[in-house]
Amino acid sequence: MNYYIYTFSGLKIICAWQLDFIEQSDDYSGESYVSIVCSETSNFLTDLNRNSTDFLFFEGQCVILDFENIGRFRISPNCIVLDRAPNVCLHEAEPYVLGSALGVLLMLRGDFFMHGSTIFFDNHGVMFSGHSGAGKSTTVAWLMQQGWRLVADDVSRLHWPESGAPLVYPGLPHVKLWEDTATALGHDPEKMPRLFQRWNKHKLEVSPEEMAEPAPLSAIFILQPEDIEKPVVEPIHGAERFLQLAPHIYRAEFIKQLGKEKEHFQFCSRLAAAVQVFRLRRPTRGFDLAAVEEVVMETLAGLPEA
Amino acid sequence: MSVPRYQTVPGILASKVEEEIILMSMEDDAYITLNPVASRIWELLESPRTLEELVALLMEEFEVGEEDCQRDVRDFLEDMSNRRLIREVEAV
Repeated sequence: MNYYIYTFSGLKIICAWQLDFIEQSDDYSGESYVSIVCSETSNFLTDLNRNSTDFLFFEGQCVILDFENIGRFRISPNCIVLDRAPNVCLHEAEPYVLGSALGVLLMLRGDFFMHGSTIFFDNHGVMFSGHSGAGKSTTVAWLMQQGWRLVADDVSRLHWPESGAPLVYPGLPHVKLWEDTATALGHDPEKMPRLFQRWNKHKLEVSPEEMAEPAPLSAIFILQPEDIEKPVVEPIHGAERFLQLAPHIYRAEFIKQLGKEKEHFQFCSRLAAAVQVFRLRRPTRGFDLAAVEEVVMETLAGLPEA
Repeated sequence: MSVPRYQTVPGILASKVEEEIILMSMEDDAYITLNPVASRIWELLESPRTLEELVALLMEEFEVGEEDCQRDVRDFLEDMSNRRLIREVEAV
């Protein structure tokens, strides 16, 4: 059987098929592999009682994550087995494998992805977090046009060195953009591969030169669209910092079901104590990215040297 | 008459960000955030203390009148006991 080796978000991945999003790695070192396989025979059932589009349930020691029209992922701490829905090709399933399925796998290990995009500039790793639609990828795509380098889009995994700020591992070499956002930023969506069949989201490919190494995290900006005229940055201190970070764990809705509240508490506590956090309120209408850049730069100028 | 002493319940998850403590109450499935004074009381209660001991220690550290301090500490102890985050231990 063929297999392919990848490095993604600091994880060693051994996959039974060739992935589309990441270049194969020739680094076989390290031991904590995640294996990703596709089940030989399809057991995909369609008679489940669903109360949401995608959901999670237990089957013995495994967790099953089910995506309507994509397939079912059987997840344990070291392995993801994909059972595809009829007529779904492996490339269509890839964003789910490297997104939600890997997010659940990490949770089983007591680790988490932050739901945020991280970018690097002038020795600062800066994460933009926020709910879906808050403008994480849009902000990052704009800043990249201004010369910032990408660390990770949408999901960011942290590495904790023995002392100091956490590092963010490099993620996928692309930024996910809605068609209208891509157009507004001067890209041609026609030339950008489409990421999902069901959504009009496209892949802005990022060259290796535009990617950063693992970056020390200096600040997290939580994007909050509001009915205001100009973007405003407010520092968040004390216990409030913890409370503001806690919801922005990737796929946080599964934490309780997986019984990982304690690990989540510890993760958010550690992060809140180590990193400066800011609320970035930005206008809902007329997302003025140059103005956002300006308030971000002002804030970074006030931070201690990384 | 014996005077009760109080202590934090072992195993409660607590963390500190700047001067404020966050607690996780598994029972209520909720986070409880403490202001800097309440955070200090929580830290002091890592060892068993009486109400009077707490008031005396807090008055050294914070600018607060004895009457207000007593009332606030009593309310805090009652509230936290009801949430089962602190408990009475052996009396002195």
